Amino acid sequence: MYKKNVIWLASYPKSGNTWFRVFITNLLSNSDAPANINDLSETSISSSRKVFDDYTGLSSSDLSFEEIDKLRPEVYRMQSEESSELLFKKVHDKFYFVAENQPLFPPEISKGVIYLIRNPLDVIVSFAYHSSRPVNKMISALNNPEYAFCDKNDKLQNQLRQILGSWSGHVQSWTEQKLIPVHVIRYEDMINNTFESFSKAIRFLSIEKTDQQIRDAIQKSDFRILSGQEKISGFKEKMIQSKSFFRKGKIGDWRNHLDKEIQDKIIENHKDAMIKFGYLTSESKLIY
Amino acid sequence: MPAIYTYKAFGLIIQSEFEIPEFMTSKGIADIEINLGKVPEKLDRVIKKGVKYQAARNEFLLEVDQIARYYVKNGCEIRVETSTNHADKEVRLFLLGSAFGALFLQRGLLPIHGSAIKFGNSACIFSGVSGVGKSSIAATFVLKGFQLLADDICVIDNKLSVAPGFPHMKIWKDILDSLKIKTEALTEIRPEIKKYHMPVDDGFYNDSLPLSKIFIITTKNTPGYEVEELKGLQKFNAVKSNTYRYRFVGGLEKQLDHFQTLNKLLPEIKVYRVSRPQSPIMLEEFADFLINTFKLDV
Repeated sequence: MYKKNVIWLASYPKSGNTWFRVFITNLLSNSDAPANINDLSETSISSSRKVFDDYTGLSSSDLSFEEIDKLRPEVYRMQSEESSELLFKKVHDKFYFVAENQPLFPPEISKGVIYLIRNPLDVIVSFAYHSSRPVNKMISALNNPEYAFCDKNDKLQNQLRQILGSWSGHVQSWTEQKLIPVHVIRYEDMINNTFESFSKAIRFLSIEKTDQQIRDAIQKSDFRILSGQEKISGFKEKMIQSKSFFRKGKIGDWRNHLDKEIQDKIIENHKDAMIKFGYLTSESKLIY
Repeated sequence: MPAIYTYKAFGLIIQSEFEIPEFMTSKGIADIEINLGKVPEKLDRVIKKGVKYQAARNEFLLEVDQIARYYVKNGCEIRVETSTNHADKEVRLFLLGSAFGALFLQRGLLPIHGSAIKFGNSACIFSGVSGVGKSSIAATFVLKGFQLLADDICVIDNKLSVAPGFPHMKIWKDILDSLKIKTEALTEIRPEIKKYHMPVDDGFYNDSLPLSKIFIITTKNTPGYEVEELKGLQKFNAVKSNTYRYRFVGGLEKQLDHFQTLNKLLPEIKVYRVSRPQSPIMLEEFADFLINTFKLDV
């Protein structure tokens, strides 16, 4: 008998996932002090190599990507079985099937998906900064249907392979799948209507918390607190090349970085999803 | 009667029905027998299950899809079942990994996840999570003329010494490239994985040595190297969590043995957390840092 106790926090990178994880950590913690950004647990990362190796009893470094993919659902089932609490798991993979009738993320243990989405133009700027790569390199990432993290087979990378696909492919894979209930949160709403946006998510997950508890958790997860913590003690999830993880978090920063050609390349490729999620009008005018 | 091959590895005499070319041949009365045959479907009285293993008191079962099933019993027998009744390099890969890991725990030995190098008259282990560079830094030391005791699993025996494993390392292509080792003459561990068996031959030290230090390697996203000596509970937890396949310990009901071994070992050794910049790993620079900081010598 499966427990539906896993909540997938799914997003394309740089779309507010870490912010949401910090918020959840603060919401569920009993401490008065804000949660430490470096204490977000390793087991909450769904592509963790260590968790995979521990639960399977095998070295993922001796297995092919396909073999690992086939075992990942079983690892999640076992984690679910062993846990008496809700498990929040950060995911950057797209939603896909590893075998017939076998999604990578097993519906039978899933309580729901929080899918975080952000204007792809802002994603590009943030992603480029995060990985210290030029903006035009990141366009080919967002537009590449085969895009993946940790997919080299000639070296051992710190996490398991994650297939992201293109930006809109990622959005579609999670928001159009019908196997796990999904709640979409826009990064822009997290900024502009913070309380409403976070409390809707908490209601979707049927977590019983008062408005005041939600407000407190939001306050403890304020951008200034997170970037302040990073300034003092660093953040382990930052890439070595980038200056900081919590950079600006602003809406519309792309206007300072992207020329018309780059904008068009993104809009052209992701028009439908951008219209659907309110980033573009049907006349192709940008909203943010 | 099938041919019998006799080897010595990890301080144990091993008799096998099939050839294990990774091991060094030897003579003597077997501590361990390895054979091909039917393996039970499941264990009775399972104490702990993983996705691909089951553990019970003195029994352990491991399954690797499309490769083999392994049954490890009483710390002295490993039975391997394959569809071809033949043990190729892929079958041996998991035999010399998780299956032997379970066997060591059954024997009350302490397997540490890491690679050991001889420095002076003692051994140091490079440990840490998968992908942190344990084998890579050990290979760098071997190229510098230091000797290898074990790669991937380091067995600590009852005398608190590191028992020599076997003269092979498994190294990824990017690391071989950066160490300027050509891959043409080497064999891949598996067809789809660009990780290679690298024989070390003369670079192997075939005698046990007292363990003096464990370096727990971690990465950080800032420049420069850092060293911190771990003490007390931190020291205990670091070595505990870097026990090879720690989750097997409970399933095999070896918690008490494991705890007692750690308590005996820890006062005799030093444990350091060594943090290196995340990527790319600068092997020469890292090795030099360790040599200078810890005055390491052949």
